[in-house]
Amino acid sequence: MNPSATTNEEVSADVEVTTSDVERVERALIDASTRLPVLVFYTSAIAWLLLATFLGILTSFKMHAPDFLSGWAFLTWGRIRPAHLNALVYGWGSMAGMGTAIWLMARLCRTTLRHPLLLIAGAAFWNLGVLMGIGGILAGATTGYEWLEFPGFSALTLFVAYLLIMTWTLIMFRYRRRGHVYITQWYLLGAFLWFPWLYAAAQVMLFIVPVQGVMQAAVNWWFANNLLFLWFGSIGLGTVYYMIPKVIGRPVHSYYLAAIGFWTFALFSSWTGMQRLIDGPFPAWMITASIAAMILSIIPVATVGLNHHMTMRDHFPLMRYSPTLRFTVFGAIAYTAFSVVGVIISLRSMARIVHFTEASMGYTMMGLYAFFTMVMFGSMYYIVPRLVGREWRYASLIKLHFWGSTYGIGLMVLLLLVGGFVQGLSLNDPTLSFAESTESILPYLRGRTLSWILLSVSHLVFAFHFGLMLLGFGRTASVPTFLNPLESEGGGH
Amino acid sequence: MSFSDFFIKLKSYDQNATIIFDRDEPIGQATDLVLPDRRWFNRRARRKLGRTVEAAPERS
Repeated sequence: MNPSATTNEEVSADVEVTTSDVERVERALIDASTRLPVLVFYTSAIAWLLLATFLGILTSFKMHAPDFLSGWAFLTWGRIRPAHLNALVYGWGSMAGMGTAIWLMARLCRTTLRHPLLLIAGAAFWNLGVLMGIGGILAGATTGYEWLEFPGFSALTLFVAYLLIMTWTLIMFRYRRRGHVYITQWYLLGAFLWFPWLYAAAQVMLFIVPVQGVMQAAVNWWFANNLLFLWFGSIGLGTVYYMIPKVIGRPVHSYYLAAIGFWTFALFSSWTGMQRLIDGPFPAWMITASIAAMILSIIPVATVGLNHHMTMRDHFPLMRYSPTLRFTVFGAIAYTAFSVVGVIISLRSMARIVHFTEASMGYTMMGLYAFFTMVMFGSMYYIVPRLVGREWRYASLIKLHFWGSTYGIGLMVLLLLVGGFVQGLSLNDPTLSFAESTESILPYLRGRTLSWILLSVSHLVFAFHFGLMLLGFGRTASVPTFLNPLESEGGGH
Repeated sequence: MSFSDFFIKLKSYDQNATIIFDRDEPIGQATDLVLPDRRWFNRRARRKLGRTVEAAPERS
């Protein structure tokens, strides 16, 4: 035996162990620095989700039982519907998305989060803005613009809070310790820069220096559509690009496809929105441009979908064992379906039927819930154990949450799309009175209430489970026990 | 930047796809597989596969 060779091996082994240890400590430090702010964002998001769910059931129930709780002004349909949607969009969706984005950005930049209290202050201001906004809506101080119903003082608070949060994320990116910028970071940076552009443009053009007449509707739909695409879409896709490869242990199938997907997504998404105003009193080119952009958005959808599918190929059985993968893959598939449905209902021939019907709501819920919310649930199942240092307590509750959400949102989307189509046909039928055409959708609306009940159960279960984790009742095992399917199911390399 | 530099840079892009892995969580190692197998369903398939219960690496 050559003694010098032995020494070299020992030295290299020492170096390997040391590097691994350093990486482990580095990750622990990053997680420790993000723990408090991310948990504050998640806790607030879940609280808003529960409120949004409660208001969602009420809104849905009132659609087929309008006299229910109609004695109180603040519980009338015209107030609780915008309160419900804004709680879902700004309370749940935005807070969960920002929490996930902060953690992902810290991990990918390999930087610890300095002065986390400032981010917590941002979360507190955001909560205050949403609280004042929802309170304002319920008190009757709504602006009447879809997804911008919050009164002015609330919008200003939200914007200040957002600037605080965005600045911190950008600072993390500026001081990243890795030269490469991963796909997830592209999408997160995009989202954090697009949101202030969308929100500020809409606020200025609708409230500060209001544009005239029907252009207000154009600005409103441009904002609402792009909030769904560029804000929630970017955060959702960025999260999927991290979670799928990380969980299955396989790099993204193609970096080139990811690049094409991102840039075409950025290019085409911002042109959409006007397709919601088909046959309205607008210049034809505006609507046609948005329809064309919707059709062209199939390019990013196809590239992103193909990339995810090829990454997941041969690894689908792992969905049985990973809650993160289950929710994330469901969300990724829903994104493709959401985009395809978006193209179909944007075509003039189809829009003439489903316009002004519940199908529009079905489409929105596909994007906001089936895609974005499911991806956020998946990311929470991944991130929270790393923050609290414990495992999720009950596998059965995770499964109940998954199936409750899956059946709930599946049923809701199906009923609203089919019901909307039936409603549209009835509205276009001159032999039917308006009252008869509205009655045609009643069975679908009752079914939607059932779907909300399913979602409520799933959200309560998730909130309870999350609460257990927060209070330290998670499993204390440092190594999660699982049935390792890698060798037998071709999951490994 | 010359064309050759550009193409070299382009070819190195695929390396970026591995940025999220490291020594503790390397390529080829699945993480977060925390759900137990279903107890009553697919029992025959499980017997065929003959899986063994193993411990996953520590979460990190």
